[in-house]
Amino acid sequence: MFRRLLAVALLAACSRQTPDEQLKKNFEPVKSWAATIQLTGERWHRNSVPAAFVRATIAAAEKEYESAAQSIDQSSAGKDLRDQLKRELDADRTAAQRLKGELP
Amino acid sequence: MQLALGILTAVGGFFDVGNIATCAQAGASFRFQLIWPLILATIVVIFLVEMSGRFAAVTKKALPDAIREHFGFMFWFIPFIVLTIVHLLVLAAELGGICFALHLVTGLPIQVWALLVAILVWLFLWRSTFSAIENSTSLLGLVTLCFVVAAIWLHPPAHEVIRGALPSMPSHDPAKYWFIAVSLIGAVIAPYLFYFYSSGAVEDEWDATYIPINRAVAVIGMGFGSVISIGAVVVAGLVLAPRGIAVNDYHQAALMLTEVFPFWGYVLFAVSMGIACLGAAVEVALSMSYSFAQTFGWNWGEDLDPTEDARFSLVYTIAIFLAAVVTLVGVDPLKLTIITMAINAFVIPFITIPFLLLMNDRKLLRDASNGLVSNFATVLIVILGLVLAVVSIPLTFLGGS
Repeated sequence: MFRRLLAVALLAACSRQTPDEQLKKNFEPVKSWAATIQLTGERWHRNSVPAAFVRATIAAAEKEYESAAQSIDQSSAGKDLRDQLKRELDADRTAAQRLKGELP
Repeated sequence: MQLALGILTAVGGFFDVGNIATCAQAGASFRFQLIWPLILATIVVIFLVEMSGRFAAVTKKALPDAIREHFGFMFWFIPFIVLTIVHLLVLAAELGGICFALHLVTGLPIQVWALLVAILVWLFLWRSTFSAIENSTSLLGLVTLCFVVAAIWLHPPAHEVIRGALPSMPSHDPAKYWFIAVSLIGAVIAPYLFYFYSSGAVEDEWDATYIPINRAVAVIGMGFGSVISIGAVVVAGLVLAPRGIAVNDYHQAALMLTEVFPFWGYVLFAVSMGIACLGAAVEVALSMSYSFAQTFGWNWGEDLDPTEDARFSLVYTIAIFLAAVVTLVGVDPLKLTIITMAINAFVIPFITIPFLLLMNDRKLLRDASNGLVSNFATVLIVILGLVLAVVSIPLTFLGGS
């Protein structure tokens, strides 16, 4: 177990990711936040969570979206990938804005 | 009655901000695959808690007191410094957890609550007796059983849960998998836990007749406590994981119970978090005062009037307000908790080795010193502690981001 753990730690430390892989990895939290916004919206429509919570969750997601946008801009990944992720990010931002607009 | 109360106390006091954060992350990212670190850590903590209670019951001394007397001040000094750092970090994480729970209930920003929470925790410690603190926070802590109810309600696939109880290699993202595994272990084997437990046993004036009760409390109480953590992993695995929600923020974890108990699920999450963190914050602050007082040979005791043990009271007063500053300046409570749990795992050998050496002293413990089974467990605990110490810091950088 000890050897395996060390091997995993060393392998991970030594492995170099390509810019595409790095950007995809950086983008993972965005997908998670987009799913969170969707679930939060569903719960809000069912009166399971208060509007203040929805607002705070959207604010936290927007922070992550902002950081992802910067990471796309600064990345040296392929243009196709960057464009695709930008489109996904725009759709996620629009969904968050739509939910925000529904709040009292 | 004493046994029942002890078990209730252990169940209610087991779950804290570290468990909530790491269990939610584990379930959301790896479904049931990370149940095994919880089981492993629970076995270890049962042994450690049983030993610390037995030690206090037989010698009527708390651990730092005995280690300092037995091995000398310098031997205890490094574990003491390490323990102090961990105490402060865990206290900051627990106060952050209470503030987040209040943020969920009121909608006000987390920082707004930092000073008020610090004052309330301090007042609670200043005014209460040890048994009042122990029984009130732990009995209220039984609200965390809602995670077990939710897990049963969701009908998890039994074979997958059982498979998760056995160690396995990660299906994806190995650095994150091992980081969460280490953090889960660090959350359960909180170093302050058994030092606090031994001081509590001295406060409650245990003697050798408490040894069987102590054993039952350790096994049944910690065992049931672990079931709550497993419940939280299962709920996160069934509610968050299928939607692709990884827990990078407490707002994401707050949705866990809304599948089963819609609006009340949101309230129950906030209440569980608030109470679990309040209980743990009080325990950690007291534990820090105990360790200072026992290290420097001051008067100590939560049942004494603060004027009789002024330095003891001063330590928790300063600790609470220092910890509150961490929340006040806007440190993310989840990130702080996760990193602190990994550091907890790192310091396990520093904290446990002196204690385990003492448990084998036959002059001190006579018939109650460690037997074959306890010593076998002791060796395994030390090995596990050393492995965790080696891997936890690199994993914090690789998987904790």
